Amino acid sequence: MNIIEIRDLFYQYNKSKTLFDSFNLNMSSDSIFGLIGPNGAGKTTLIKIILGLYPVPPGKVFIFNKDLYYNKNEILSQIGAFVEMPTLYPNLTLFEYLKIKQLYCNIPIKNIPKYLEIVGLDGKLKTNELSLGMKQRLAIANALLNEPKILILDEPTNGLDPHGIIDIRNLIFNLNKSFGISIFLSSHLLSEIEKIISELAIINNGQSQYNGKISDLFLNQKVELKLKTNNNQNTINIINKVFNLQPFSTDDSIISYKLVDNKILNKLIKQLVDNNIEIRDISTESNNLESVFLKFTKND
Amino acid sequence: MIQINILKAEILKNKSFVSLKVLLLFPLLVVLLISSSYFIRDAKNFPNDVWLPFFIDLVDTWSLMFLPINCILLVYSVFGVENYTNNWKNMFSMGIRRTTILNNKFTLLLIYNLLSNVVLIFYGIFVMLLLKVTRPEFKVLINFTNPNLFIMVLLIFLGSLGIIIIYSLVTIWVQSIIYPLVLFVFMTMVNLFIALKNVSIYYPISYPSNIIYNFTNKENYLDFIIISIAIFGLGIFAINCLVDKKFNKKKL
Repeated sequence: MNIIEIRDLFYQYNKSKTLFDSFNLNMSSDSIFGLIGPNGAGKTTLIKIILGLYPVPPGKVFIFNKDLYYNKNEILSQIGAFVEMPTLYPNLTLFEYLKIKQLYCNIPIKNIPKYLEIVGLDGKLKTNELSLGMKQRLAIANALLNEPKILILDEPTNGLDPHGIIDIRNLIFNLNKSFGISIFLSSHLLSEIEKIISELAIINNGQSQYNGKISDLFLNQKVELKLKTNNNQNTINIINKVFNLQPFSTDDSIISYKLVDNKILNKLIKQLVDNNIEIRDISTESNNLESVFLKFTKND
Repeated sequence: MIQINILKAEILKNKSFVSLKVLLLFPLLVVLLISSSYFIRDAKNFPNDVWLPFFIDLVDTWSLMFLPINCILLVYSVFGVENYTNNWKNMFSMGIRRTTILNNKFTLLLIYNLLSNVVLIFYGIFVMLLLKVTRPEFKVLINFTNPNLFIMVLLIFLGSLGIIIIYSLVTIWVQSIIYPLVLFVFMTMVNLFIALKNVSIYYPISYPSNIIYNFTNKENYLDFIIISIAIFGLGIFAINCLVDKKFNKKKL
């Protein structure tokens, strides 16, 4: 079931700049959804549209199967979000900081210690004593306070050191798996986002270039096989005869093939060994999110 | 709709910002300034009762110079805290109507503003009591039941509603305290010029609107009250519309 659905969205900043044109996006419930795109592709704007900060006509954005246009406040009360890391209100304890949202949204006060514990922060600390990583975790606790069904995070690992990134990654993963919260996040760190997301959308030039499961994205991507043997010409002939494959490069005595998947790899090795070919080096390279991203956005 | 919980949240937010300090320190500064002129001078200069003249001096100075700055700082504290922390977008994505958020902020501003005026009068009363005790040669006919005292508080409060609207608009729109301060200097100069040229009889509570001058000069309090409240109401309505326009079209 789709928890967020954007249908045929048209959005422009002004008459000369159209950001989205016939834009569609779907996010399944219970997923960790990654939104990626080059700078200026409209990731933050899309998040702001989903959060009702930029109004769009009815029939364009549906959340929980309800039209955002007609049910904005009801929908937003079930979403937790932080958009571009805000500066914290100065000189408050973390408990007081979270109390602001608790009072605003009439949330049970017991949620404050609960979510402080989940993100691993001490409520007695002051907001001006926090490191960047702690600020991000506090912002996540603040977003979680109303027990949302969707958590929307804009660049949650921005500016963090490797430890901070790992902390936030584990926290996001845990929130999804243990608490069943659907997570929508945007990030520039492709290698990082790749580790946790189950679904993604790649946006570029106002269009969704890919929207679906991350596993499906790599399903049709070719695996690159590199081989070095004692008799390359013989190897080429055998592979061509048995598997009907031609190498796409033979540089520096290394033969390179593009395979649809690596399932035939075992058969291929067995065939070479049976033909007394000595394999001196073999490696495979699968596509990662970075290479797929570059492929989808290469016109930039 | 005004919600007590939201007001509490706003007070908490401003706890360590500028508002509380402004509330207590600004009136104190004015009272010290005015009362010093009584304490250092000979009582012979004040042959009559000093109770009401002191409060008129106090309110005069307060409303001309300090009240506008007080309003600027209070507005900066209540609205500027969101600019300073870049938090408008997070506020507006909590599922609460923008008008509810803004109206509660205005309510808090009114409470702060009324409190600072009340604090001013309390400081004034304390200083007069002190003068009576330490300088018995002064004639201080303390009269708490004199309605002029309450009318003065009410008029300063109402007179400041227009200032609050103007500075709120500027603070939300330009998101910097510099512009309200520049506007304050300009408007004070205009106000002083009008007073010096005697274009109309200067009345401090009239700041900043010339329309209000004429009504207050006739001492027509009812008109003054109606116009002040009308300006404030229309101002809030305009700000709500403009905030929607601003935050819907520009990048937050």
